[in-house]
Amino acid sequence: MININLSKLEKQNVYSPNDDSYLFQEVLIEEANQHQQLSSIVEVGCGTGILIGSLIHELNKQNKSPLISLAIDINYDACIVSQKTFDNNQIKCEIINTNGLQGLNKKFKFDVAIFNPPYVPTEPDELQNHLNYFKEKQQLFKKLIDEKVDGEQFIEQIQKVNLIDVSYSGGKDGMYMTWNIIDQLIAVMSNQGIMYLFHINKDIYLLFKIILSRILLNI
Amino acid sequence: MRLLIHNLLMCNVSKCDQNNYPLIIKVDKSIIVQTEFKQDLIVKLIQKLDFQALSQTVKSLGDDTFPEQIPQDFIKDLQFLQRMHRILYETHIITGELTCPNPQCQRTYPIVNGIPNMILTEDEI
Repeated sequence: MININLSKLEKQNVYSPNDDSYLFQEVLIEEANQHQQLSSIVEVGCGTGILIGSLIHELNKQNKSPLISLAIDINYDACIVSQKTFDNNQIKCEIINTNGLQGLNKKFKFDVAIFNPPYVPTEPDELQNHLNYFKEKQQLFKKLIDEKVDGEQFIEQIQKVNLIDVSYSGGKDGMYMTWNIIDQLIAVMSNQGIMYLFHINKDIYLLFKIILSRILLNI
Repeated sequence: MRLLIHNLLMCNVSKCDQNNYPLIIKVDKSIIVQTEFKQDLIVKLIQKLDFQALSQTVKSLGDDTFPEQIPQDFIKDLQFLQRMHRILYETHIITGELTCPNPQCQRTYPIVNGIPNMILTEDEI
C-alpha cells in the first residue's frame, strides 16, 4: 500500500481519501493483474494521487510499469500533494494542473483512464459559488506568477483560495461536471482502452446506456 | 515537468487551430534527477512519442547534435537510449513557461514547482 500524508492545511484544500477512494483503490490493485504492459494511463481529478498512484505502484511490482502516466487536477494544491505522494512512494507519474483534458494533444491515446468524479448534487447558487472560487484561484495564480513568486512561497500563497468544493460538488443531479469529462476521456481512449469510473446512482443501467451511446457516437 | 509530458501538450485556445504544437519551452530552472535506466521501456516509449516534436524541442533547448529522426538501429544503440532516458525521464523543468508557437496566439502557460498550468479562461474556450 502506498503512503499518503497530508498536513492539516492540505486536508482542508484537497480531497482526503474516503470510502469511495479506498473501494476504488482496491479495484484498481486487483485489476492490475489483468493488464499487460500498458503504454499510457491518465487520471482526471487525482486529488492526493491515491488512485493512479496505487495502480502504478502495483504495476511496478509486477514489472508492468506504464510508459506514460499522467495525473490531472484542476486544483493546484492537489497537484502539489500528488507530487509528494508520488515522490514518497517512488512512483513515476507526470502531473498537470488543468481543467479536464485542456492542453492535451488529443492524438495521444490512453490505455487506461481513471475518473472518480464529483457527484454530490449541488444547488445552482452553490455551484456558482464554486465556479467563482475557481476563477479567483486562477486570478491569484496569475498574480503570483506576475510577482515572480515560486517554490514553497507559491504553494503557501496559492492555498489561500480553497478549491476543495470542486472535488465533490456535481451540480444538477450530481452529474453536471461529469459528462463533459467523460466525453473528453472517451475521445482519447485507445482501441482496447479501459475507463474506470466511480458512480453512485440507483439507475446504473441508465448510466451504462448513456455512456455506451456516447462511445458509439464517438466512433 | 518532464520533456516526456511536454510531448503531449498543445495549445487548446479556441480558434488556435494551426501551428499550436509543440509548445515552445522557456526554462528558468531545471534539475536532473537520476532514475533507473530500463532499456526495453525506453525503446517502447520512443515509439509512442512524436519524435519530430521532441527533436525540435531538444534542439531549441540548446542541444544541436540531437537527431531529426529516430536512428535506424536505435534498439541496440545504448548511447542513444541512455541519452533519451536522460532527456525524457531525468530532466525536470521546475520553473518556466510554455508558449504557443502560433504567431496569432502566443498564449503562455506557466510552469511552477514543476507543474504546468494549462487551464484556459472563459474567453479562451
